[in-house]
Amino acid sequence: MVSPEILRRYPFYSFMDHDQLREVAMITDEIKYKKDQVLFNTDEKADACFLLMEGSVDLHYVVDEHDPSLRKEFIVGTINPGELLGISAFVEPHIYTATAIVVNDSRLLKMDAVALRDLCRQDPGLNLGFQTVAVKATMERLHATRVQLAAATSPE
Amino acid sequence: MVSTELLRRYPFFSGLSRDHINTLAKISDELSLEADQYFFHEEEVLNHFYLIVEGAVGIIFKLPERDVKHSISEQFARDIKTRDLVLSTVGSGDVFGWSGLIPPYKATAGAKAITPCRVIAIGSQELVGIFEEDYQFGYLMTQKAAQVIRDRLRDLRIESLAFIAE
Repeated sequence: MVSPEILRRYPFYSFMDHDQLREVAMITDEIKYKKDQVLFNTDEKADACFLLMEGSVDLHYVVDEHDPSLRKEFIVGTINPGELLGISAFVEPHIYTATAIVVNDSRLLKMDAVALRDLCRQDPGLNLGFQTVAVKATMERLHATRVQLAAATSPE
Repeated sequence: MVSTELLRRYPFFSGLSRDHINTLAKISDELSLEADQYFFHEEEVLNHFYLIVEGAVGIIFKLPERDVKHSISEQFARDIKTRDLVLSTVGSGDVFGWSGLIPPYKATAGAKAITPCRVIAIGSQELVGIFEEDYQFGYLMTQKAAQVIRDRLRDLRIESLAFIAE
Protein backbone atom coordinates (compact mmCIF):
# COMPACT_ATOMS: atom_id res chain seq x y z
CA MET A 1 0.00 0.00 0.00
CA VAL A 2 1.14 3.57 -0.72
CA SER A 3 -0.11 6.96 0.42
CA PRO A 4 -2.83 8.50 -1.78
CA GLU A 5 -0.63 11.64 -1.76
CA ILE A 6 1.97 9.81 -3.83
CA LEU A 7 -0.63 8.99 -6.46
CA ARG A 8 -1.92 12.56 -6.45
CA ARG A 9 1.45 13.75 -7.83
CA TYR A 10 0.82 12.05 -11.17
CA PRO A 11 -1.59 13.39 -13.84
CA PHE A 12 -2.49 9.78 -14.62
CA TYR A 13 -4.59 9.64 -11.43
CA SER A 14 -6.16 13.10 -11.81
CA PHE A 15 -9.59 11.76 -12.85
CA MET A 16 -10.13 10.13 -9.43
CA ASP A 17 -11.86 11.62 -6.42
CA HIS A 18 -10.40 11.22 -2.92
CA ASP A 19 -12.22 7.95 -2.11
CA GLN A 20 -11.22 6.35 -5.41
CA LEU A 21 -7.63 7.45 -4.90
CA ARG A 22 -7.60 5.90 -1.42
CA GLU A 23 -8.99 2.58 -2.74
CA VAL A 24 -6.42 2.45 -5.56
CA ALA A 25 -3.59 3.38 -3.15
CA MET A 26 -4.50 0.32 -1.04
CA ILE A 27 -3.79 -2.05 -3.95
CA THR A 28 -0.63 -0.22 -5.09
CA ASP A 29 2.97 -0.83 -3.99
CA GLU A 30 6.10 1.21 -4.61
CA ILE A 31 8.81 -1.16 -5.81
CA LYS A 32 12.45 -0.71 -6.82
CA TYR A 33 13.73 -2.74 -9.76
CA LYS A 34 17.31 -3.32 -10.85
CA LYS A 35 18.68 -2.85 -14.36
CA ASP A 36 17.75 -5.77 -16.68
CA GLN A 37 14.92 -7.04 -14.46
CA VAL A 38 11.87 -8.18 -16.43
CA LEU A 39 8.58 -6.62 -15.30
CA PHE A 40 6.44 -8.85 -17.50
CA ASN A 41 6.68 -11.03 -20.58
CA THR A 42 4.71 -11.12 -23.85
CA ASP A 43 1.72 -13.50 -23.69
CA GLU A 44 1.67 -13.62 -19.88
CA LYS A 45 -1.53 -12.85 -18.00
CA ALA A 46 -1.70 -9.11 -17.33
CA ASP A 47 -2.10 -9.20 -13.56
CA ALA A 48 -0.31 -5.92 -12.84
CA CYS A 49 0.08 -2.49 -14.37
CA PHE A 50 2.79 0.01 -13.54
CA LEU A 51 3.46 3.71 -13.42
CA LEU A 52 7.12 4.63 -13.78
CA MET A 53 8.27 7.03 -11.03
CA GLU A 54 12.01 7.07 -11.72
CA GLY A 55 14.30 5.39 -14.22
CA SER A 56 13.60 3.92 -17.62
CA VAL A 57 11.95 0.80 -19.04
CA ASP A 58 12.09 -0.59 -22.58
CA LEU A 59 9.24 -2.42 -24.27
CA HIS A 60 10.38 -5.34 -26.40
CA TYR A 61 8.28 -6.95 -29.11
CA VAL A 62 8.94 -10.66 -29.48
CA VAL A 63 8.65 -12.47 -32.79
CA ASP A 64 8.22 -16.15 -32.04
CA GLU A 65 9.01 -18.75 -34.65
CA HIS A 66 8.50 -22.52 -34.54
CA ASP A 67 12.26 -22.85 -34.41
CA PRO A 68 13.38 -21.23 -31.10
CA SER A 69 16.71 -20.25 -32.69
CA LEU A 70 14.79 -17.85 -34.97
CA ARG A 71 13.14 -16.05 -32.03
CA LYS A 72 13.80 -12.30 -32.23
CA GLU A 73 13.25 -9.39 -29.86
CA PHE A 74 13.03 -5.73 -30.92
CA ILE A 75 12.72 -2.61 -28.79
CA VAL A 76 9.46 -0.92 -29.79
CA GLY A 77 9.32 1.83 -27.21
CA THR A 78 10.83 3.40 -24.13
CA ILE A 79 8.76 4.31 -21.08
CA ASN A 80 9.66 7.56 -19.30
CA PRO A 81 8.78 8.71 -15.75
CA GLY A 82 5.07 9.44 -15.31
CA GLU A 83 4.05 7.00 -18.03
CA LEU A 84 1.91 3.90 -17.73
CA LEU A 85 2.98 0.40 -18.71
CA GLY A 86 1.10 -2.86 -18.71
CA ILE A 87 -1.90 -1.30 -20.48
CA SER A 88 -3.11 -4.80 -21.40
CA ALA A 89 -4.30 -5.09 -17.79
CA PHE A 90 -7.20 -2.84 -18.87
CA VAL A 91 -7.88 -4.41 -22.27
CA GLU A 92 -9.54 -7.80 -22.67
CA PRO A 93 -8.32 -10.55 -22.84
CA HIS A 94 -5.80 -9.09 -20.34
CA ILE A 95 -2.66 -10.60 -21.90
CA TYR A 96 0.59 -8.59 -22.23
CA THR A 97 1.50 -7.85 -25.86
CA ALA A 98 5.11 -6.82 -25.13
CA THR A 99 7.94 -7.62 -22.74
CA ALA A 100 9.05 -4.86 -20.34
CA ILE A 101 12.71 -4.76 -19.25
CA VAL A 102 14.24 -2.25 -16.84
CA VAL A 103 16.96 -0.20 -18.60
CA ASN A 104 18.46 1.35 -15.47
CA ASP A 105 17.60 1.08 -11.76
CA SER A 106 13.99 2.24 -11.52
CA ARG A 107 11.20 2.92 -9.06
CA LEU A 108 7.65 2.02 -10.06
CA LEU A 109 4.14 2.04 -8.67
CA LYS A 110 2.78 -1.47 -9.18
CA MET A 111 -1.01 -1.82 -9.19
CA ASP A 112 -2.61 -5.21 -8.61
CA ALA A 113 -4.66 -5.42 -11.81
CA VAL A 114 -6.94 -8.22 -10.59
CA ALA A 115 -7.92 -6.18 -7.52
CA LEU A 116 -8.16 -3.08 -9.71
CA ARG A 117 -10.58 -4.78 -12.10
CA ASP A 118 -12.65 -5.82 -9.04
CA LEU A 119 -12.72 -2.20 -7.89
CA CYS A 120 -13.76 -1.12 -11.38
CA ARG A 121 -16.62 -3.63 -11.43
CA GLN A 122 -17.97 -2.04 -8.24
CA ASP A 123 -17.42 1.54 -9.44
CA PRO A 124 -18.45 2.15 -13.09
CA GLY A 125 -17.11 5.73 -12.96
CA LEU A 126 -13.66 4.47 -11.99
CA ASN A 127 -13.96 1.81 -14.67
CA LEU A 128 -14.64 4.37 -17.40
CA GLY A 129 -11.86 6.62 -16.06
CA PHE A 130 -9.22 3.87 -16.19
CA GLN A 131 -10.44 2.73 -19.58
CA THR A 132 -10.14 6.27 -20.95
CA VAL A 133 -6.59 6.80 -19.68
CA ALA A 134 -5.61 3.35 -20.99
CA VAL A 135 -6.99 4.17 -24.46
CA LYS A 136 -5.16 7.50 -24.36
CA ALA A 137 -1.88 5.79 -23.44
CA THR A 138 -2.38 3.23 -26.24
CA MET A 139 -3.12 5.99 -28.73
CA GLU A 140 0.05 7.82 -27.71
CA ARG A 141 2.04 4.64 -28.22
CA LEU A 142 0.39 4.12 -31.61
CA HIS A 143 1.31 7.69 -32.56
CA ALA A 144 4.94 7.17 -31.48
CA THR A 145 5.12 3.97 -33.55
CA ARG A 146 3.65 5.80 -36.57
CA VAL A 147 6.30 8.51 -36.22
CA GLN A 148 9.01 5.82 -36.11
CA LEU A 149 7.55 4.13 -39.18
CA ALA A 150 7.26 7.46 -41.01
CA ALA A 151 10.93 8.13 -40.26
CA ALA A 152 11.91 4.63 -41.42
CA THR A 153 9.98 4.88 -44.68
CA SER A 154 11.01 8.42 -45.56
CA PRO A 155 14.78 8.59 -45.68
CA GLU A 156 16.26 12.00 -46.45
CA MET B 1 -29.78 9.54 -38.18
CA VAL B 2 -29.13 6.05 -39.59
CA SER B 3 -31.16 2.88 -39.17
CA THR B 4 -30.36 0.58 -36.26
CA GLU B 5 -30.28 -2.30 -38.78
CA LEU B 6 -27.36 -0.67 -40.58
CA LEU B 7 -25.34 -0.52 -37.33
CA ARG B 8 -26.26 -4.06 -36.36
CA ARG B 9 -24.59 -5.42 -39.53
CA TYR B 10 -21.15 -4.63 -38.14
CA PRO B 11 -19.39 -6.85 -35.59
CA PHE B 12 -17.99 -3.68 -34.04
CA PHE B 13 -21.37 -2.97 -32.44
CA SER B 14 -21.82 -6.50 -31.07
CA GLY B 15 -22.41 -6.73 -27.34
CA LEU B 16 -24.27 -3.41 -27.20
CA SER B 17 -27.85 -3.36 -25.94
CA ARG B 18 -30.82 -2.32 -28.08
CA ASP B 19 -30.91 1.02 -26.21
CA HIS B 20 -27.22 1.65 -26.88
CA ILE B 21 -27.66 0.89 -30.60
CA ASN B 22 -30.68 3.23 -30.71
CA THR B 23 -28.62 5.98 -29.08
CA LEU B 24 -25.79 5.50 -31.57
CA ALA B 25 -28.20 5.48 -34.54
CA LYS B 26 -29.69 8.83 -33.42
CA ILE B 27 -26.30 10.59 -33.39
CA SER B 28 -25.02 9.00 -36.62
CA ASP B 29 -25.20 10.04 -40.24
CA GLU B 30 -24.14 8.44 -43.49
CA LEU B 31 -21.54 10.35 -45.43
CA SER B 32 -19.97 9.87 -48.87
CA LEU B 33 -16.56 11.18 -49.89
CA GLU B 34 -14.78 11.12 -53.22
CA ALA B 35 -11.27 9.74 -53.51
CA ASP B 36 -8.62 12.17 -52.17
CA GLN B 37 -11.08 14.08 -49.96
CA TYR B 38 -10.06 14.45 -46.33
CA PHE B 39 -12.12 13.35 -43.34
CA PHE B 40 -9.85 15.31 -41.02
CA HIS B 41 -6.29 16.49 -40.61
CA GLU B 42 -3.74 15.76 -37.89
CA GLU B 43 -4.22 17.94 -34.75
CA GLU B 44 -7.81 18.84 -35.73
CA VAL B 45 -10.42 18.67 -32.94
CA LEU B 46 -12.75 15.82 -33.85
CA ASN B 47 -16.51 15.85 -33.48
CA HIS B 48 -17.05 12.42 -35.02
CA PHE B 49 -15.54 9.01 -35.32
CA TYR B 50 -16.23 6.85 -38.36
CA LEU B 51 -17.14 3.34 -39.42
CA ILE B 52 -16.38 2.46 -43.04
CA VAL B 53 -19.30 1.00 -44.98
CA GLU B 54 -17.54 0.97 -48.36
CA GLY B 55 -14.15 2.05 -49.62
CA ALA B 56 -10.63 2.47 -48.31
CA VAL B 57 -9.34 5.20 -46.00
CA GLY B 58 -5.69 6.11 -45.57
CA ILE B 59 -4.31 7.10 -42.18
CA ILE B 60 -1.81 9.78 -43.07
CA PHE B 61 1.02 11.93 -41.76
CA LYS B 62 2.03 15.13 -43.43
CA LEU B 63 5.77 15.35 -44.03
CA PRO B 64 7.71 18.33 -45.37
CA GLU B 65 8.12 18.10 -49.14
CA ARG B 66 11.59 16.99 -50.18
CA ASP B 67 13.86 19.30 -52.17
CA VAL B 68 11.84 22.42 -51.27
CA LYS B 69 13.66 25.11 -49.31
CA HIS B 70 11.64 27.27 -46.94
CA SER B 71 12.62 30.63 -45.49
CA ILE B 72 12.80 31.06 -41.72
CA SER B 73 9.62 33.17 -41.75
CA GLU B 74 7.79 30.43 -43.68
CA GLN B 75 8.97 27.89 -41.14
CA PHE B 76 7.80 30.09 -38.24
CA ALA B 77 4.43 30.60 -39.94
CA ARG B 78 4.32 26.87 -40.67
CA ASP B 79 3.74 27.84 -44.28
CA ILE B 80 5.62 24.87 -45.69
CA LYS B 81 4.88 22.54 -48.55
CA THR B 82 3.97 19.05 -47.38
CA ARG B 83 3.23 15.65 -48.84
CA ASP B 84 1.01 12.90 -47.49
CA LEU B 85 2.53 9.68 -46.23
CA VAL B 86 -0.08 6.92 -46.00
CA LEU B 87 0.89 4.93 -42.91
CA SER B 88 -1.91 2.40 -43.05
CA THR B 89 -5.12 1.74 -44.89
CA VAL B 90 -8.41 0.72 -43.29
CA GLY B 91 -11.44 -0.72 -45.07
CA SER B 92 -15.03 -1.86 -44.77
CA GLY B 93 -16.09 -2.55 -41.17
CA ASP B 94 -13.08 -0.73 -39.71
CA VAL B 95 -13.38 2.24 -37.38
CA PHE B 96 -11.18 5.34 -37.32
CA GLY B 97 -11.11 8.76 -35.66
CA TRP B 98 -11.05 7.42 -32.10
CA SER B 99 -9.42 10.57 -30.81
CA GLY B 100 -12.89 12.12 -30.90
CA LEU B 101 -13.74 10.09 -27.78
CA ILE B 102 -10.59 10.70 -25.76
CA PRO B 103 -9.42 14.06 -24.33
CA PRO B 104 -8.07 16.37 -25.76
CA TYR B 105 -10.18 15.10 -28.73
CA LYS B 106 -7.47 15.99 -31.29
CA ALA B 107 -6.61 13.76 -34.25
CA THR B 108 -3.20 12.12 -33.86
CA ALA B 109 -3.06 11.52 -37.64
CA GLY B 110 -5.04 12.61 -40.69
CA ALA B 111 -7.52 10.50 -42.65
CA LYS B 112 -8.36 10.72 -46.34
CA ALA B 113 -10.40 8.68 -48.78
CA ILE B 114 -8.16 6.53 -50.96
CA THR B 115 -11.15 5.36 -53.02
CA PRO B 116 -14.73 6.73 -53.07
CA CYS B 117 -16.03 6.03 -49.56
CA ARG B 118 -19.30 5.62 -47.74
CA VAL B 119 -19.01 5.87 -43.96
CA ILE B 120 -21.15 6.20 -40.86
CA ALA B 121 -20.13 9.33 -38.93
CA ILE B 122 -20.94 9.00 -35.23
CA GLY B 123 -21.15 12.16 -33.13
CA SER B 124 -18.34 11.71 -30.62
CA GLN B 125 -18.97 14.85 -28.56
CA GLU B 126 -22.62 13.86 -28.00
CA LEU B 127 -21.40 10.40 -27.10
CA VAL B 128 -18.90 11.69 -24.54
CA GLY B 129 -21.78 13.56 -22.88
CA ILE B 130 -23.89 10.39 -22.87
CA PHE B 131 -21.01 8.44 -21.26
CA GLU B 132 -21.14 10.87 -18.31
CA GLU B 133 -24.66 9.61 -17.63
CA ASP B 134 -24.14 5.97 -18.62
CA TYR B 135 -20.71 4.74 -17.44
CA GLN B 136 -21.36 1.18 -18.61
CA PHE B 137 -21.99 2.35 -22.19
CA GLY B 138 -18.82 4.45 -21.94
CA TYR B 139 -16.86 1.45 -20.71
CA LEU B 140 -18.12 -0.82 -23.51
CA MET B 141 -17.26 1.70 -26.23
CA THR B 142 -13.84 2.62 -24.84
CA GLN B 143 -13.04 -1.08 -24.37
CA LYS B 144 -13.81 -1.58 -28.08
CA ALA B 145 -11.61 1.43 -28.88
CA ALA B 146 -8.79 -0.01 -26.78
CA GLN B 147 -8.99 -3.36 -28.58
CA VAL B 148 -8.98 -1.79 -32.04
CA ILE B 149 -6.07 0.53 -31.19
CA ARG B 150 -4.10 -2.31 -29.57
CA ASP B 151 -4.56 -4.45 -32.71
CA ARG B 152 -3.53 -1.54 -34.92
CA LEU B 153 -0.46 -0.97 -32.74
CA ARG B 154 0.47 -4.66 -33.04
CA ASP B 155 0.08 -4.55 -36.86
CA LEU B 156 2.16 -1.38 -37.06
CA ARG B 157 4.91 -2.89 -34.91
CA ILE B 158 5.05 -5.91 -37.21
CA GLU B 159 5.19 -3.58 -40.23
CA SER B 160 8.02 -1.59 -38.60
CA LEU B 161 9.93 -4.79 -37.95
CA ALA B 162 9.56 -5.76 -41.59
CA PHE B 163 11.30 -2.49 -42.54
CA ILE B 164 14.08 -3.16 -40.06
CA ALA B 165 14.50 -6.68 -41.37
CA GLU B 166 14.73 -5.56 -45.03
